[in-house]
Amino acid sequence: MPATVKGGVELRKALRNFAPELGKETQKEITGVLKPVVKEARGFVTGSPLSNWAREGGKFPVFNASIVKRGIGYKTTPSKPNRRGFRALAQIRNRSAAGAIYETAGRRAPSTKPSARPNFAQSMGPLTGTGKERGRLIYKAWENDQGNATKAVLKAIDNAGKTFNRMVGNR
Amino acid sequence: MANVVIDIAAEYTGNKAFKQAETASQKLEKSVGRVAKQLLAVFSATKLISFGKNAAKAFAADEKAARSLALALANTGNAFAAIEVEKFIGDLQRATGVLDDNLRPAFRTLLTATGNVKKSQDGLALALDIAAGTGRDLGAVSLALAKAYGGQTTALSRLGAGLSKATLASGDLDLITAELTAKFSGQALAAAEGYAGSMAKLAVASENAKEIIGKDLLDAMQLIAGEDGIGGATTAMEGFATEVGNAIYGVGVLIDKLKSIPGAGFIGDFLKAGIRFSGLGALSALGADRKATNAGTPAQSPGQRMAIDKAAKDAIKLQKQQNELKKIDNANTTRKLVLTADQQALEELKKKFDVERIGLFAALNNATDEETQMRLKSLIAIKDNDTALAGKIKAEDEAAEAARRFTNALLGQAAMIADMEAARSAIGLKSLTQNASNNASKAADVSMNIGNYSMGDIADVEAARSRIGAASMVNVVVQGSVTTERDLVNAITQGIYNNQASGIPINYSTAY
Repeated sequence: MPATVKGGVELRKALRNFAPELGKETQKEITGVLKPVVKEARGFVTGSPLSNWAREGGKFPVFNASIVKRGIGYKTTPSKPNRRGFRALAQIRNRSAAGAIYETAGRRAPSTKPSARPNFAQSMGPLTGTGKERGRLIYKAWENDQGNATKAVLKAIDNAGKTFNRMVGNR
Repeated sequence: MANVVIDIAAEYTGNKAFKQAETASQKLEKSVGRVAKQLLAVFSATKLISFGKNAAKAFAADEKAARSLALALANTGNAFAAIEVEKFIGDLQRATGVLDDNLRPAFRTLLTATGNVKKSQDGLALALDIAAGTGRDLGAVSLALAKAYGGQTTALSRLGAGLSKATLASGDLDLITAELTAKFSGQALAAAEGYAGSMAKLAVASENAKEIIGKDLLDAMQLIAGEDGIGGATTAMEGFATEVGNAIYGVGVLIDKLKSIPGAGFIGDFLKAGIRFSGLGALSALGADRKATNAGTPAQSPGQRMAIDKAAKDAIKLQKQQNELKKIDNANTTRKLVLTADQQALEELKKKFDVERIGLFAALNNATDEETQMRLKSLIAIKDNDTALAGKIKAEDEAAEAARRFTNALLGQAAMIADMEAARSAIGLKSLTQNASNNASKAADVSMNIGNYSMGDIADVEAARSRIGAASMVNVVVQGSVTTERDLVNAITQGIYNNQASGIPINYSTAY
């Protein structure tokens, strides 16, 4: 569960409409925080974790390191609401199919249905993180970051809000 | 599409899946019910419900007092200070160990009398000191002070604060408060120290805890109650309590029966322990789960989220209404456009059978000179109310006029040049058309008669040129000087010599 903030989406709208420069600065600040995490996550993609996975053919998505790297990125604009009505103000994403498989394989216990293949998951190495937030790429980089990025993003949003309020107050 | 995402900062904005939310709350209700059954098997349902009711009541009373104070602040024009006052009361409560339930009404009384937040704060602090020093009720002291602010000092004299009659009779509130401050200063803080003070502070903390639990309990009830509201929740709660009571009685009977079986007493003990542990374990798990969820949402309570959902629903409703209105508006506009097109077609048809118009067109076809044609076109434009054609005709007319003026100006220039040529030849100089560049260095000192041609003519030429959009520029350049003083003297002298040689006598008339 990410930290929730009140009025974040409204603040982004207000910044866009009334203080676009400040909005851009905030976005830059958030980008500056997320970029190193993304870079580190991309660094974990070295090649196909399984030799057969890189071969073409079949329905299973082929592991192509460059596609997987390209699929790892960040987003600094508010997302659409999820099923529970929450909108994320910033995200780190792993969007390629092979990247998602490599990220999450082995999260479920081997005994659960649909039957998992422990050999497949084990050969990729251990998962890093806790609970549902375990992975090998973005979650690993996120875990290594130890929450610094979250703090920095929240601080950036908070600072933007304060600056904006000050600016509006001065008008 | 595969999309593994880490959300960094989130905000609850409400979603379309209200149905899902409802299902989720129903699930929660069931799970809470299950766990509560296990919990209440251990604890007495009556006690728990009683505590819950007390907590909820405490919160409701606290909220009511806070609302009343906020209203009093708003009514006295001090709404802006609501947060500051709440903080002041909270701080005072912690420092003196006097409950906010007592502080708020006292503050409100003083505020009503003074209408000033600062005076009320000072008055409340003084009232606390007096109450601690005299052992009187804070409400009574604050009321007496409030009356004193209004000019009635009788109640103040009955407090037993030892105020002199002279001071009271003076009615000077500054003097009265100064004397009271001198007598009771620091009493409230002193009372807050020591054993009794600590007990009072503990009581404050306990009451606050009760209020916090009461608030969460009401929020939870609201969540569970769903659309039926709190009324539904209370009914469900009572039914639930009856069921739990029956279950407890059943468990008691079971344990009693097991005890009565020789050698099976340990089973009863085991069962009791099992129930206790399972109940507490489940409660702990639920509490931890909910706390973890709420820890991630520090700024938005379930009530706020429900409010957001309601606002979202209202917004959708409003949007739908606006869309309906827009649809009607668009339909009207389309209808208007169709009617306009029909009207135009009718007008076109009318024109075809307009005898006067037919006559004008016939005349236009027969007209040979341009001016007549232009006049006829103008009449047709007026007849058709054709502004575009009228504009075109006007532009053509202006262009013709400009061309005419340009021609005149050119003719004028030609005449001027001819005059200049005549003047030059009269004084025996070279023609302007000849290259006089050799004389360019000589200073000009000849006044020329330029007759009726002025700079206005040149301006006319320029204006005409710009109207017809002429691209070329006509420049008339007079190069060099025509003569010098010495040349002129020489010419005159030569003329005199010539006259003398010809036998023409030099006299006044020949000299001039």
